[in-house]
Amino acid sequence: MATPAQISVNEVVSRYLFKYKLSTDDAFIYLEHACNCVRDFHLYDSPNVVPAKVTITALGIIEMPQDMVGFNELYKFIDGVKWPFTFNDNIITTTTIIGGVETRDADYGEGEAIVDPKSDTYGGIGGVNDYYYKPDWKSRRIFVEGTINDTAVLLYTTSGVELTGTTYIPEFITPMLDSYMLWKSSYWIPTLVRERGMLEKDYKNAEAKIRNLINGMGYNEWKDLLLSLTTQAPLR
Amino acid sequence: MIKSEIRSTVLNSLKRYDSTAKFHQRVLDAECEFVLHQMLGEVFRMSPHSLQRYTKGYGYTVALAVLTEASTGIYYTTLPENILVFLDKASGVRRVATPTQTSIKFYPIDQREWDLIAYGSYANTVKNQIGYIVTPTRVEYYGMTGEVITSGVRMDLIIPFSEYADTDVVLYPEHIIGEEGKGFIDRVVDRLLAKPQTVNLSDQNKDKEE
Repeated sequence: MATPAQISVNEVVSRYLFKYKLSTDDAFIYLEHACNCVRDFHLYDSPNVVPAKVTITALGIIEMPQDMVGFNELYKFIDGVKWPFTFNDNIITTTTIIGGVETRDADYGEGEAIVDPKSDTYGGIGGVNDYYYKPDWKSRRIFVEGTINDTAVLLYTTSGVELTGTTYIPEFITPMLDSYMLWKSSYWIPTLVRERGMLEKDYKNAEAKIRNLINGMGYNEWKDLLLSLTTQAPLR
Repeated sequence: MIKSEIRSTVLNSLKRYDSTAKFHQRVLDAECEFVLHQMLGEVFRMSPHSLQRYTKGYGYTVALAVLTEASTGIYYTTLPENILVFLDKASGVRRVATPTQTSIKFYPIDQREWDLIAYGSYANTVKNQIGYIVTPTRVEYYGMTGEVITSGVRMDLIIPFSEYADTDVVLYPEHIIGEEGKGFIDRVVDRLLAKPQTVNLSDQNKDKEE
Protein backbone atom coordinates (compact mmCIF):
# COMPACT_ATOMS: atom_id res chain seq x y z
CA MET A 1 0.00 0.00 0.00
CA ALA A 2 1.30 3.46 -0.89
CA THR A 3 1.47 6.48 1.42
CA PRO A 4 -1.68 8.64 1.80
CA ALA A 5 -2.39 11.25 -0.85
CA GLN A 6 -3.37 13.76 1.83
CA ILE A 7 -1.59 14.77 5.01
CA SER A 8 -2.33 17.27 7.72
CA VAL A 9 -0.65 20.66 7.86
CA ASN A 10 0.63 19.72 11.34
CA GLU A 11 2.45 16.83 9.80
CA VAL A 12 3.99 19.03 7.14
CA VAL A 13 5.40 21.34 9.82
CA SER A 14 6.73 18.45 11.92
CA ARG A 15 8.40 16.86 8.93
CA TYR A 16 9.85 20.21 7.91
CA LEU A 17 11.45 20.68 11.34
CA PHE A 18 12.81 17.16 11.09
CA LYS A 19 14.14 17.47 7.53
CA TYR A 20 15.95 20.74 8.13
CA LYS A 21 17.25 19.86 11.63
CA LEU A 22 15.37 22.76 13.16
CA SER A 23 14.44 23.38 16.75
CA THR A 24 10.85 22.87 17.84
CA ASP A 25 11.05 26.33 19.42
CA ASP A 26 9.56 27.92 16.32
CA ALA A 27 7.00 25.24 15.47
CA PHE A 28 4.00 27.54 15.93
CA ILE A 29 5.62 30.27 13.87
CA TYR A 30 6.19 27.83 11.03
CA LEU A 31 2.62 26.63 11.41
CA GLU A 32 1.29 30.14 10.81
CA HIS A 33 3.37 30.46 7.65
CA ALA A 34 2.40 26.98 6.45
CA CYS A 35 -1.28 27.90 6.82
CA ASN A 36 -0.69 31.10 4.87
CA CYS A 37 0.83 29.02 2.10
CA VAL A 38 -2.14 26.64 2.13
CA ARG A 39 -4.47 29.62 1.77
CA ASP A 40 -2.41 30.99 -1.12
CA PHE A 41 -2.45 27.60 -2.77
CA HIS A 42 -6.24 27.49 -2.67
CA LEU A 43 -6.52 31.08 -3.79
CA TYR A 44 -3.96 31.23 -6.61
CA ASP A 45 -3.05 27.73 -7.69
CA SER A 46 -5.64 25.13 -6.92
CA PRO A 47 -8.52 24.73 -9.36
CA ASN A 48 -10.60 23.16 -6.60
CA VAL A 49 -13.52 25.33 -5.64
CA VAL A 50 -15.99 24.40 -2.98
CA PRO A 51 -19.74 24.20 -3.64
CA ALA A 52 -22.20 25.38 -1.00
CA LYS A 53 -25.98 25.27 -1.08
CA VAL A 54 -27.01 28.77 -0.09
CA THR A 55 -30.27 30.51 0.70
CA ILE A 56 -31.38 33.74 -0.92
CA THR A 57 -33.30 35.70 1.69
CA ALA A 58 -36.45 37.75 1.21
CA LEU A 59 -34.18 40.77 0.80
CA GLY A 60 -32.26 39.08 -2.00
CA ILE A 61 -29.13 38.52 0.04
CA ILE A 62 -26.79 35.53 0.38
CA GLU A 63 -24.49 35.43 3.40
CA MET A 64 -20.97 34.41 2.40
CA PRO A 65 -19.58 31.26 4.05
CA GLN A 66 -17.00 32.09 6.71
CA ASP A 67 -14.10 30.46 4.85
CA MET A 68 -14.87 32.12 1.50
CA VAL A 69 -11.87 34.04 0.16
CA GLY A 70 -12.76 34.12 -3.55
CA PHE A 71 -15.92 34.06 -5.67
CA ASN A 72 -16.18 31.57 -8.49
CA GLU A 73 -19.77 31.12 -9.63
CA LEU A 74 -23.37 31.41 -8.50
CA TYR A 75 -26.10 29.43 -10.17
CA LYS A 76 -29.52 27.91 -9.71
CA PHE A 77 -31.03 24.87 -11.34
CA ILE A 78 -33.53 25.26 -14.11
CA ASP A 79 -34.83 22.19 -15.92
CA GLY A 80 -32.08 19.99 -14.60
CA VAL A 81 -29.19 22.14 -15.70
CA LYS A 82 -27.37 24.89 -13.90
CA TRP A 83 -28.20 28.45 -14.80
CA PRO A 84 -25.50 30.91 -13.83
CA PHE A 85 -26.16 34.37 -12.44
CA THR A 86 -24.57 37.33 -14.21
CA PHE A 87 -22.36 39.85 -12.45
CA ASN A 88 -23.84 43.33 -12.36
CA ASP A 89 -21.79 46.02 -10.72
CA ASN A 90 -24.74 48.39 -10.53
CA ILE A 91 -26.82 46.44 -8.04
CA ILE A 92 -27.51 48.51 -4.93
CA THR A 93 -25.80 46.89 -1.95
CA THR A 94 -27.20 48.92 0.90
CA THR A 95 -30.05 48.06 3.23
CA THR A 96 -32.19 50.13 5.55
CA ILE A 97 -32.90 49.44 9.20
CA ILE A 98 -36.39 50.38 10.34
CA GLY A 99 -37.32 49.71 13.95
CA GLY A 100 -34.35 47.40 14.30
CA VAL A 101 -35.44 45.33 11.32
CA GLU A 102 -33.40 45.20 8.14
CA THR A 103 -35.40 46.10 5.05
CA ARG A 104 -34.76 47.49 1.61
CA ASP A 105 -35.80 51.01 0.70
CA ALA A 106 -37.10 51.36 -2.84
CA ASP A 107 -36.48 55.13 -2.71
CA TYR A 108 -32.78 54.31 -2.81
CA GLY A 109 -33.20 51.57 -5.37
CA GLU A 110 -32.62 48.87 -2.80
CA GLY A 111 -34.04 45.56 -4.01
CA GLU A 112 -35.60 47.12 -7.08
CA ALA A 113 -35.85 44.91 -10.17
CA ILE A 114 -33.39 45.63 -12.92
CA VAL A 115 -34.98 46.58 -16.20
CA ASP A 116 -32.76 45.27 -18.92
CA PRO A 117 -32.36 47.41 -21.99
CA LYS A 118 -33.73 44.88 -24.42
CA SER A 119 -33.99 45.28 -28.14
CA ASP A 120 -35.83 42.66 -30.09
CA THR A 121 -36.26 44.55 -33.31
CA TYR A 122 -33.95 45.14 -36.21
CA GLY A 123 -30.39 45.49 -35.02
CA GLY A 124 -31.05 43.85 -31.66
CA ILE A 125 -27.92 42.42 -30.18
CA GLY A 126 -26.74 40.76 -26.98
CA GLY A 127 -28.43 38.60 -24.41
CA VAL A 128 -29.71 39.45 -20.96
CA ASN A 129 -30.13 37.30 -17.89
CA ASP A 130 -32.99 37.01 -15.45
CA TYR A 131 -30.58 36.72 -12.49
CA TYR A 132 -27.82 39.04 -11.40
CA TYR A 133 -25.46 39.21 -8.47
CA LYS A 134 -22.91 41.48 -6.90
CA PRO A 135 -20.59 40.44 -4.03
CA ASP A 136 -20.11 42.96 -1.23
CA TRP A 137 -16.88 41.81 0.36
CA LYS A 138 -16.94 44.26 3.22
CA SER A 139 -20.29 43.10 4.54
CA ARG A 140 -19.52 39.57 3.30
CA ARG A 141 -22.79 39.29 1.44
CA ILE A 142 -23.84 38.62 -2.12
CA PHE A 143 -26.73 40.77 -3.34
CA VAL A 144 -28.94 39.02 -5.83
CA GLU A 145 -31.50 40.38 -8.28
CA GLY A 146 -34.13 38.34 -10.05
CA THR A 147 -35.19 35.98 -7.29
CA ILE A 148 -35.83 36.03 -3.55
CA ASN A 149 -36.70 33.38 -0.97
CA ASP A 150 -34.90 30.92 -3.14
CA THR A 151 -31.98 28.53 -3.06
CA ALA A 152 -28.86 28.54 -5.19
CA VAL A 153 -25.44 26.96 -5.38
CA LEU A 154 -22.36 29.02 -4.69
CA LEU A 155 -18.97 27.93 -5.95
CA TYR A 156 -16.22 29.64 -4.03
CA THR A 157 -12.57 29.46 -3.10
CA THR A 158 -12.00 28.41 0.46
CA SER A 159 -9.15 29.43 2.75
CA GLY A 160 -8.57 25.70 3.05
CA VAL A 161 -7.71 25.87 6.73
CA GLU A 162 -10.21 24.01 8.86
CA LEU A 163 -11.48 25.74 11.98
CA THR A 164 -12.71 22.75 13.89
CA GLY A 165 -11.11 19.73 12.26
CA THR A 166 -7.74 18.69 10.94
CA THR A 167 -6.55 20.63 7.90
CA TYR A 168 -5.55 18.22 5.17
CA ILE A 169 -3.64 19.14 2.06
CA PRO A 170 -2.50 17.16 -0.99
CA GLU A 171 0.78 15.48 -0.08
CA PHE A 172 2.41 16.45 -3.35
CA ILE A 173 2.40 20.16 -2.45
CA THR A 174 4.67 19.52 0.56
CA PRO A 175 7.80 20.75 -1.28
CA MET A 176 6.02 24.05 -1.93
CA LEU A 177 5.18 24.48 1.77
CA ASP A 178 8.75 23.57 2.71
CA SER A 179 10.24 26.14 0.36
CA TYR A 180 7.69 28.73 1.54
CA MET A 181 8.66 28.21 5.19
CA LEU A 182 12.36 28.34 4.31
CA TRP A 183 11.84 31.59 2.45
CA LYS A 184 9.81 33.19 5.24
CA SER A 185 12.26 32.07 7.91
CA SER A 186 14.87 34.28 6.23
CA TYR A 187 13.01 37.21 7.79
CA TRP A 188 14.05 36.18 11.31
CA ILE A 189 17.06 33.90 10.85
CA PRO A 190 19.99 36.28 10.32
CA THR A 191 22.13 33.77 8.42
CA LEU A 192 19.44 33.39 5.78
CA VAL A 193 19.03 37.09 5.05
CA ARG A 194 21.43 37.01 2.12
CA GLU A 195 19.72 33.91 0.76
CA ARG A 196 16.27 35.46 0.72
CA GLY A 197 16.20 36.09 -3.01
CA MET A 198 17.27 32.53 -3.78
CA LEU A 199 14.77 31.09 -1.31
CA GLU A 200 11.95 33.10 -2.86
CA LYS A 201 12.98 31.79 -6.26
CA ASP A 202 12.94 28.23 -4.92
CA TYR A 203 9.39 28.79 -3.69
CA LYS A 204 8.29 30.25 -7.02
CA ASN A 205 9.79 27.28 -8.83
CA ALA A 206 8.01 24.81 -6.55
CA GLU A 207 4.76 26.70 -7.00
CA ALA A 208 5.15 26.83 -10.80
CA LYS A 209 5.82 23.11 -10.95
CA ILE A 210 2.65 22.34 -9.01
CA ARG A 211 0.59 24.87 -10.94
CA ASN A 212 1.72 23.34 -14.22
CA LEU A 213 0.79 19.90 -13.01
CA ILE A 214 -2.68 20.69 -11.73
CA ASN A 215 -3.62 23.00 -14.59
CA GLY A 216 -1.98 21.00 -17.38
CA MET A 217 -4.26 18.99 -19.65
CA GLY A 218 -3.86 15.24 -19.97
CA TYR A 219 -3.90 13.19 -23.18
CA ASN A 220 -7.62 12.48 -23.03
CA GLU A 221 -8.44 16.15 -22.46
CA TRP A 222 -6.35 17.19 -25.47
CA LYS A 223 -7.96 14.44 -27.53
CA ASP A 224 -11.46 15.57 -26.51
CA LEU A 225 -10.56 19.16 -27.34
CA LEU A 226 -9.28 18.29 -30.79
CA LEU A 227 -12.20 16.04 -31.57
CA SER A 228 -14.68 18.67 -30.43
CA LEU A 229 -13.16 21.23 -32.79
CA THR A 230 -12.90 19.05 -35.85
CA THR A 231 -15.31 17.22 -38.08
CA GLN A 232 -14.93 13.51 -38.16
CA ALA A 233 -15.84 11.33 -41.09
CA PRO A 234 -16.62 7.64 -40.86
CA LEU A 235 -13.63 5.48 -41.58
CA ARG A 236 -14.54 2.67 -43.93
CA MET B 1 29.11 7.45 36.72
CA ILE B 2 26.69 7.49 39.56
CA LYS B 3 26.58 10.61 41.68
CA SER B 4 28.42 9.16 44.71
CA GLU B 5 31.21 7.92 42.42
CA ILE B 6 31.62 11.35 40.92
CA ARG B 7 31.85 12.86 44.36
CA SER B 8 34.36 10.22 45.43
CA THR B 9 36.44 10.73 42.30
CA VAL B 10 36.56 14.46 42.91
CA LEU B 11 37.43 13.98 46.55
CA ASN B 12 40.25 11.58 45.78
CA SER B 13 41.61 13.89 43.13
CA LEU B 14 42.13 16.65 45.63
CA LYS B 15 45.43 17.24 47.29
CA ARG B 16 44.95 17.22 51.05
CA TYR B 17 46.93 19.02 53.67
CA ASP B 18 47.08 15.85 55.71
CA SER B 19 45.17 12.61 56.12
CA THR B 20 42.49 14.21 58.25
CA ALA B 21 41.68 17.10 55.95
CA LYS B 22 38.09 16.89 54.77
CA PHE B 23 35.63 18.52 52.39
CA HIS B 24 31.96 18.87 53.06
CA GLN B 25 29.77 16.95 50.59
CA ARG B 26 27.73 20.05 49.97
CA VAL B 27 30.80 21.99 48.94
CA LEU B 28 31.73 19.27 46.47
CA ASP B 29 28.17 19.02 45.15
CA ALA B 30 27.87 22.76 44.74
CA GLU B 31 31.02 22.88 42.62
CA CYS B 32 29.88 19.86 40.59
CA GLU B 33 26.55 21.57 40.01
CA PHE B 34 28.17 24.77 38.81
CA VAL B 35 30.54 23.01 36.41
CA LEU B 36 27.80 20.70 35.11
CA HIS B 37 25.54 23.63 34.28
CA GLN B 38 28.45 25.46 32.67
CA MET B 39 29.36 22.48 30.49
CA LEU B 40 25.76 21.78 29.49
CA GLY B 41 25.61 25.42 28.48
CA GLU B 42 28.56 24.76 26.18
CA VAL B 43 26.71 21.76 24.72
CA PHE B 44 23.68 23.99 24.15
CA ARG B 45 25.75 26.56 22.29
CA MET B 46 27.24 23.87 20.08
CA SER B 47 23.98 22.00 19.40
CA PRO B 48 20.77 22.53 21.39
CA HIS B 49 19.41 19.19 20.13
CA SER B 50 22.26 17.38 21.93
CA LEU B 51 20.96 18.39 25.35
CA GLN B 52 18.45 15.55 25.05
CA ARG B 53 21.30 13.14 25.88
CA TYR B 54 21.60 14.57 29.39
CA THR B 55 17.98 14.46 30.44
CA LYS B 56 16.26 12.47 33.14
CA GLY B 57 12.76 11.14 32.45
CA TYR B 58 9.77 11.79 34.70
CA GLY B 59 6.26 10.40 34.39
CA TYR B 60 7.32 7.24 32.57
CA THR B 61 5.98 4.84 35.18
CA VAL B 62 3.29 7.10 36.68
CA ALA B 63 2.19 9.98 34.46
CA LEU B 64 2.56 13.54 35.71
CA ALA B 65 -0.82 15.17 36.35
CA VAL B 66 -2.18 18.01 34.25
CA LEU B 67 -3.96 20.41 36.59
CA THR B 68 -6.13 23.48 36.11
CA GLU B 69 -5.54 26.71 37.98
CA ALA B 70 -9.01 27.83 38.98
CA SER B 71 -8.28 31.57 39.07
CA THR B 72 -6.71 31.78 35.59
CA GLY B 73 -7.96 28.68 33.82
CA ILE B 74 -4.37 27.78 32.92
CA TYR B 75 -3.54 24.13 32.48
CA TYR B 76 -0.23 23.19 34.04
CA THR B 77 1.98 20.48 35.45
CA THR B 78 4.11 21.15 38.51
CA LEU B 79 7.76 20.45 37.78
CA PRO B 80 8.72 17.24 39.59
CA GLU B 81 12.25 18.61 40.17
CA ASN B 82 14.08 21.88 39.83
CA ILE B 83 15.51 22.36 36.36
CA LEU B 84 18.53 24.01 34.86
CA VAL B 85 17.78 27.05 32.75
CA PHE B 86 18.84 27.32 29.10
CA LEU B 87 18.33 30.13 26.66
CA ASP B 88 15.77 28.55 24.35
CA LYS B 89 12.05 28.24 25.03
CA ALA B 90 12.26 24.63 26.19
CA SER B 91 14.82 25.62 28.85
CA GLY B 92 15.41 22.60 31.11
CA VAL B 93 12.25 20.80 29.90
CA ARG B 94 13.63 19.30 26.74
CA ARG B 95 10.63 17.18 25.93
CA VAL B 96 6.97 16.78 26.90
CA ALA B 97 4.92 13.87 25.59
CA THR B 98 1.81 11.88 26.33
CA PRO B 99 2.40 8.78 28.52
CA THR B 100 1.94 6.49 25.54
CA GLN B 101 3.32 7.66 22.23
CA THR B 102 0.49 9.32 20.28
CA SER B 103 0.14 11.79 17.42
CA ILE B 104 -0.20 14.64 19.93
CA LYS B 105 2.91 16.79 19.83
CA PHE B 106 4.15 19.32 22.37
CA TYR B 107 6.11 22.35 21.23
CA PRO B 108 7.81 24.94 23.46
CA ILE B 109 6.54 28.50 23.27
CA ASP B 110 6.95 31.52 25.51
CA GLN B 111 4.51 33.87 27.20
CA ARG B 112 4.85 36.51 24.50
CA GLU B 113 3.90 34.03 21.79
CA TRP B 114 1.07 32.72 23.94
CA ASP B 115 -0.38 36.22 24.18
CA LEU B 116 -0.02 36.67 20.42
CA ILE B 117 -1.65 33.46 19.32
CA ALA B 118 -4.17 32.93 22.09
CA TYR B 119 -7.01 34.18 19.94
CA GLY B 120 -7.37 34.45 16.20
CA SER B 121 -4.38 32.51 14.94
CA TYR B 122 -4.02 29.42 12.80
CA ALA B 123 -2.60 27.69 15.87
CA ASN B 124 -6.13 27.82 17.28
CA THR B 125 -7.46 25.82 14.38
CA VAL B 126 -5.11 22.86 14.37
CA LYS B 127 -5.44 19.78 16.47
CA ASN B 128 -2.90 17.61 18.22
CA GLN B 129 -0.42 20.41 18.80
CA ILE B 130 0.05 21.66 22.33
CA GLY B 131 2.34 24.50 23.28
CA TYR B 132 4.16 24.39 26.60
CA ILE B 133 5.65 27.27 28.53
CA VAL B 134 8.39 26.56 31.02
CA THR B 135 8.30 28.62 34.19
CA PRO B 136 10.54 28.17 37.27
CA THR B 137 8.03 25.96 39.06
CA ARG B 138 5.66 24.56 36.49
CA VAL B 139 4.95 23.92 32.82
CA GLU B 140 1.87 25.69 31.41
CA TYR B 141 0.00 24.50 28.35
CA TYR B 142 -1.66 26.14 25.36
CA GLY B 143 -4.20 24.13 23.37
CA MET B 144 -4.58 21.41 25.98
CA THR B 145 -7.04 18.64 25.14
CA GLY B 146 -9.35 16.62 27.35
CA GLU B 147 -7.56 13.47 26.29
CA VAL B 148 -4.22 14.70 27.65
CA ILE B 149 -5.78 16.09 30.83
CA THR B 150 -7.03 12.58 31.51
CA SER B 151 -3.85 10.77 30.56
CA GLY B 152 -1.28 13.17 32.04
CA VAL B 153 2.17 13.74 30.54
CA ARG B 154 5.79 12.67 30.82
CA MET B 155 8.79 14.92 30.63
CA ASP B 156 12.52 14.76 30.00
CA LEU B 157 14.22 17.27 32.27
CA ILE B 158 17.73 18.54 32.73
CA ILE B 159 18.12 18.81 36.46
CA PRO B 160 20.87 20.24 38.69
CA PHE B 161 23.49 17.96 40.21
CA SER B 162 21.94 18.43 43.65
CA GLU B 163 18.61 16.94 42.49
CA TYR B 164 20.13 13.56 41.63
CA ALA B 165 20.05 10.76 44.19
CA ASP B 166 23.41 9.31 45.20
CA THR B 167 22.65 6.18 43.22
CA ASP B 168 21.53 8.01 40.04
CA VAL B 169 23.73 7.99 36.99
CA VAL B 170 24.73 11.57 36.24
CA LEU B 171 25.52 12.11 32.60
CA TYR B 172 28.01 14.88 32.09
CA PRO B 173 29.60 16.01 28.83
CA GLU B 174 33.05 14.59 29.45
CA HIS B 175 33.88 14.84 25.74
CA ILE B 176 33.86 18.61 25.93
CA ILE B 177 37.38 19.77 26.58
CA GLY B 178 38.01 23.41 27.35
CA GLU B 179 40.88 25.50 26.09
CA GLU B 180 43.10 24.08 28.80
CA GLY B 181 42.22 20.52 27.89
CA LYS B 182 40.17 19.94 31.00
CA GLY B 183 36.98 17.94 31.33
CA PHE B 184 34.32 17.76 34.02
CA ILE B 185 36.29 16.26 36.95
CA ASP B 186 39.35 18.43 36.21
CA ARG B 187 37.26 21.58 36.22
CA VAL B 188 35.59 20.71 39.52
CA VAL B 189 38.96 19.92 41.10
CA ASP B 190 40.38 23.18 39.76
CA ARG B 191 37.62 25.13 41.42
CA LEU B 192 38.21 23.35 44.73
CA LEU B 193 41.96 23.87 44.79
CA ALA B 194 41.60 27.37 46.08
CA LYS B 195 39.01 26.41 48.71
CA PRO B 196 40.19 25.94 52.31
CA GLN B 197 39.99 22.43 53.66
CA THR B 198 38.57 21.78 57.08
CA VAL B 199 41.22 20.71 59.54
CA ASN B 200 40.38 20.66 63.19
CA LEU B 201 43.47 19.48 64.95
CA SER B 202 41.83 19.34 68.33
CA ASP B 203 39.40 16.54 67.45
CA GLN B 204 40.91 15.18 64.24
CA ASN B 205 37.82 16.32 62.32
CA LYS B 206 35.75 13.63 63.92
CA ASP B 207 32.52 15.57 63.79
CA LYS B 208 32.93 16.84 60.25
CA GLU B 209 30.87 15.67 57.36
CA GLU B 210 32.84 14.17 54.54
